[in-house]
Amino acid sequence: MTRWTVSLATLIVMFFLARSAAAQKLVTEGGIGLGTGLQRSDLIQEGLFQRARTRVVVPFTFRSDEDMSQGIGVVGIFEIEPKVGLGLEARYVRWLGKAFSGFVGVPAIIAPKTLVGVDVGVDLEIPLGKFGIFLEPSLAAVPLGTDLPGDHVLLWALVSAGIHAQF
Amino acid sequence: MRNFEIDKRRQSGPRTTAAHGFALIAAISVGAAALVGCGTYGDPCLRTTDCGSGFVCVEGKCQVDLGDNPADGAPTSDVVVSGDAPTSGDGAIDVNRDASTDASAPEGGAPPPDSTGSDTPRDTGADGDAPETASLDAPRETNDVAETGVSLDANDARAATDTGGGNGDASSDVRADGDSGSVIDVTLDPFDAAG
Repeated sequence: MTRWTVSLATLIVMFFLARSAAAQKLVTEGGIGLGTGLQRSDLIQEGLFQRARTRVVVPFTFRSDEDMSQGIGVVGIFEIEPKVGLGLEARYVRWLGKAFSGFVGVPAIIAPKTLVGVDVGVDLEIPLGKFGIFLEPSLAAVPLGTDLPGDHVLLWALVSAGIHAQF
Repeated sequence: MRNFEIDKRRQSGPRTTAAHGFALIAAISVGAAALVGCGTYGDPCLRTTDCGSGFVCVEGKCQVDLGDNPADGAPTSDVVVSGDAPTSGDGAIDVNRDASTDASAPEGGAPPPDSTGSDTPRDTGADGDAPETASLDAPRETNDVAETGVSLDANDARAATDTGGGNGDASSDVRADGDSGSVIDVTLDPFDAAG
């Protein structure tokens, strides 16, 4: 009984006296921007490209402060013109410097019909104090989804720009 | 107490701002959808949602949606209804629409419903496969026209007209030939059919 009492008291004392260890913190960044670009498919009949839909993008990135060179990202996609659509994109982001990063991702339009593909791009960031401006060119291939009329791969060459901030 | 309320309000500020931001984006999206064009006939399309209501994306262009098979939705819908088909009796319908429609129109059997499904049932009685001049639904004196062997009874004539007008298209071109062939050509305007 005495042994259990001493052990428990020691455990409690150590628990309350111990300083909190420095754990890794989540570094979150977010922003909002506008994007558009060109699209192509083998369905196209006039010219090589059509203008892609204009979209509002809302990117968020998450990374650990112990490894700031890589992280994951989630991008909200709101197509607004000439047709509306709603989508998401999940990304793996690799920073190659403070103002330059590259990513590969899986963009998906989920409404009103679905599209799923893969994309690759880079992200240039211009810091402006607490905020910053991002410029993001990307290429995407979209082979799946109910929004495709048949077995045709849709290609996007997009550019997005906007502001971002670290939370 | 008052200060506490103020602090509480301050704490909820960023969340409120974010919610307002998303609401603003949603409002902009809906507003933009209401203002922009809607992908009418002939417009280029690479996605099915590029075309407006009543149109489907076929081979890169928005086409009139005439049936459940978008690939056959091209506006080639000259519908010909013959009163006396040479081999299988009256009611043979030559519909240049799509394969599913053709397959569902057995000779002498029940005809397919129109796109709205609002047609009244056709006469599928004893004159289905019988030779035209040999068998009619009603006594010959009441249906034949001037003893010329015209093989279109009253019910068939009504049904044929319904086939053309089933889409609610008041402007459908219905032409009835009064000769012994009794051919009624019904031409559907693909634009009206989609409307």
